[in-house]
Amino acid sequence: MKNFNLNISYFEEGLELSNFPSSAETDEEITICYRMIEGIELKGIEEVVFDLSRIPGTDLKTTAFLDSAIRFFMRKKIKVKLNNLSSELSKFLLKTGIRRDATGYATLLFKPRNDESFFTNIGESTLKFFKDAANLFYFTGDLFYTICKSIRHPSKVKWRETFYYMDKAGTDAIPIVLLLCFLLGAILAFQGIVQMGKFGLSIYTANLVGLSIVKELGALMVAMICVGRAGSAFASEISTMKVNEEIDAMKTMGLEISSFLVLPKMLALILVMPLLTVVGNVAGIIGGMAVGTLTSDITLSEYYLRTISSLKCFDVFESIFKSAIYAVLISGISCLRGIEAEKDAKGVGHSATSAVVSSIFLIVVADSIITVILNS
Amino acid sequence: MMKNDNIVTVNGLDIGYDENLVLKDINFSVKRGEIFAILGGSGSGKSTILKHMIGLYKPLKGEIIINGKDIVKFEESELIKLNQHIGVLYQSGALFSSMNILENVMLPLREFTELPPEYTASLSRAKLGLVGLSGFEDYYPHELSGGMKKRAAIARALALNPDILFFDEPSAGLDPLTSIELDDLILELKNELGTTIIIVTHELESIFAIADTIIVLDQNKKTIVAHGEPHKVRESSISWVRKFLNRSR
Repeated sequence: MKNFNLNISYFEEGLELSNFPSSAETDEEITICYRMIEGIELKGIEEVVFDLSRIPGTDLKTTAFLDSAIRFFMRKKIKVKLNNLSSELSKFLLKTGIRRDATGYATLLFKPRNDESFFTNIGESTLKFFKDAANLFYFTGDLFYTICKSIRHPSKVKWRETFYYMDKAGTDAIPIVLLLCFLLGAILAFQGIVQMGKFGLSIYTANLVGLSIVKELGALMVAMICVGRAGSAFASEISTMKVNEEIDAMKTMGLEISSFLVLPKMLALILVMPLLTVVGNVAGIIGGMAVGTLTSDITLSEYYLRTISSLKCFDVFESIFKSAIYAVLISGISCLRGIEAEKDAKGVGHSATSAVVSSIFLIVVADSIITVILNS
Repeated sequence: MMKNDNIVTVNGLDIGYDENLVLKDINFSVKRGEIFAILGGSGSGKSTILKHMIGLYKPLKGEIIINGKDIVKFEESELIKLNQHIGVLYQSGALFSSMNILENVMLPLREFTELPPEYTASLSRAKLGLVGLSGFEDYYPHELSGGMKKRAAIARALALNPDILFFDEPSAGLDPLTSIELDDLILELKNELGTTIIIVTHELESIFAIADTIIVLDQNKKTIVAHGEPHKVRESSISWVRKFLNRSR
């Protein structure tokens, strides 16, 4: 420091500070002064007196320094007395939320807004739970009403939008579905051959791959792809519309949100996901067949016949049925998360994340229930 | 002496996107400590000039001299340094929605200074106090009204004590009383902090209340058609300018 020094003097059960920095001081000098205050030995200190008689001017830097010093001592439960406070400086300190009370001590003008006590958090979480539940019931009811209305008047369905989403969620997803399901089948076959080959049962790899892919993994893999591609896109699209007040505009124009925004997306996904699942199942079986025939002595025809004999029509139906249920869940929850989103950038991101997480959770739960029901 | 020197000088500036010329042969200078307003109808290129002056876009030709340096020739790293000496208020406020307003104001201080966090919080609180937002530190942008958002955005623009403040249509979307309050705040910033303020606007009342110098852009001629003190420009010999500034048919 050049010519500047913060004065600290001790008295019984207290200390006095004077000569505070102002805008004339550099950032480095201000930092050193603040560090000096932080370094004061506070044991036994009950009161700090700020002598403000020699404040050179009332500027933002002085005010900010005093504010930070006063708040530092207040955090340590030490009382701060403001001596020789000019009316000018008092006005500046008021702007930062510091007031001198009648006894001359500094007090905070505004209490922190967030009361994060244990009971407040429980109360808020409970209220949020009931609000979310009410939203879900309202959304489901509204959607059910719209579906019933659409069945009676199919021409009222927004078919142009539905085809658009079918294209985006279906056609555009075919390459990734083909690739991932092919690899999944290949991995399953590889693991099967290695493990079952130990017992001379390599031929059953075809059964393993066929049944696993068609009964379970094909639909599940397609659902995960659709959650990542379509679900997050639906949620962020609707939440961005909410930020731009487009949803409010729709409501005030008397348009039904579920009919305009939810039903086309749901219908599109219900129509394309079973088709994608069939494509994925075939790709998975071909992947398994490729690895099975290339890495063992199973012939192509043997593998094909094994696969065909192990699968029943009902297995294919199960796969398609599951994917349709997943489509309802993914589109429904993603649209709901979009509608519930906060009206800011963070809300958009949160809605997409929440749509993905909730969809995955619901898919796994639904899968468990459907599998038990259809196979018991 | 310092009061009269030019803090910004724009020479022979041609602005455009791809091959489309938006403005041509733009020449003006802004004196240190004055409030300078850029006027013009919708689509005349007001905001585009401002975005060139803060280095967001490069002009087709010409120079923009800020504090004696031509920013057109600046590299990215030099522009980052320049941005620490200017503050910008965007039309929507552009506050970061994931942060409360105290954190919004603290952000540039945290990033570009070595000051202790407690002191930067106090300094940010003081800046929020200066714009009349004491007690709203822990509010998030979506909880504030339009006028309060603009004030918070001004506090953020002031965080690093900039030499120049650029305001892009500060009164847009505000009610008349809030708009007057904002005008008073802009005058206060000029008088108390001595900051040079460059405003893009078409709010006539604001212009006559606060601006020291104005330029008027014409969309058809694609250049400045009037330049000077607001009351003198109002009596311009060009009828379009007179109509624009007097709101007459």
